[in-house]
Amino acid sequence: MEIIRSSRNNIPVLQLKGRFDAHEVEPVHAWLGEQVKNGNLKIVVNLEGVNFIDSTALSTLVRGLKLCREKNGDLHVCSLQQPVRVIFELTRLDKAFDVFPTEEEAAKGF
Amino acid sequence: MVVLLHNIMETVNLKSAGFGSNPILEAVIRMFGNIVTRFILKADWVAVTIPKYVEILEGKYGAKNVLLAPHGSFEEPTKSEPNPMPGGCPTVMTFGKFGTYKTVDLLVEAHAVLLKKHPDMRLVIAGTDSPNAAGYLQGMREKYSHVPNVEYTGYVAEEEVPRIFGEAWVVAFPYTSTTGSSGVLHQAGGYGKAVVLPNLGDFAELVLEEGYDAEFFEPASADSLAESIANVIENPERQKEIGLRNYTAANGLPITEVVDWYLIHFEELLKKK
Repeated sequence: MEIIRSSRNNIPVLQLKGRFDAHEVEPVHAWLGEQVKNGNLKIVVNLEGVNFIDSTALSTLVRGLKLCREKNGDLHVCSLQQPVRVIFELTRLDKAFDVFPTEEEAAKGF
Repeated sequence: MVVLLHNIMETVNLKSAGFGSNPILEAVIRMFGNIVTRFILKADWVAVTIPKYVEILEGKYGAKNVLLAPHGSFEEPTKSEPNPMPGGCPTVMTFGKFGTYKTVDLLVEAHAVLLKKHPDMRLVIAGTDSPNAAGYLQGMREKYSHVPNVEYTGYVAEEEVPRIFGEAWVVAFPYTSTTGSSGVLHQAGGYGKAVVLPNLGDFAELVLEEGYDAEFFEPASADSLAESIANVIENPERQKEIGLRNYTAANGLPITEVVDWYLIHFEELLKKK
């Protein structure tokens, strides 16, 4: 999986590409923890390039969401491909996360 | 209120579960199952661990409050490295309560096939009879008394579980019908073990959804089961690959994180109320 770290309007953005599963979560987990530790409590995760996501990967995002919200921040996800959207819908995490069609809207949505 | 529904009536094979010998009884059980399911669906959220269950509950009952949730592992993440290749003689282990949809006859027959090539191979049947199948394992012990190197452990005390899993080269799941997500699979993953699973839809989905790997066998075929076990015990690279992958999958989602997942849904509910 490819991981691209960037920012948009001073909001840290993590863009993921490829298969996001149990074997790929560690750097994402570390990045989310680092952002929260540094006081960046508004975070965007761009899943545009993700074609598969498993429950461990989703759980990593849930953990990130929890960390942010505990400190009155939030984690927005955006640009879900159809297979990933289906998983978000099946798990109802589309109701728990704020999901945006584009990265720009996700960054503006805080 | 959030309910976790581990199994649904629609996917349970009542014959395999020991309740299907009488068609009238089966119909009555299914009718009550439907009523109970409708009652359960009154909860705010009903969580299931298999994607197909969401489709069934939404399709048959028109439910709009069903969600998919991960099973997670009851084992705490281990600090030490997993040991998918414990050495000693090749040991196949199965763990559970047997006699309904978890049966061992196919496994003993597969073991008999494998003994021709691996005469030192052990088969460990760890666990007890299902409450609905009293005497099952004693019956199997008598029926297959001619097959050597089969050990029936009976009840396994908690402190013995690490040794039982630790000695296994491969953990077998001789299930005859679909069940929900398997706690034993998560346990096996926690010990970094390779597994052989029946080619049943639920398990295949679970493997994909939760990052596990396995060798699959055709549910009614001892030869297919023997071949799957051989694919593991005769192929150390594959044994290691499956074991480490399962270890990662099991440790990737401990039950504490599953709890976080549920708490997120609770928060949403509380916001609405």
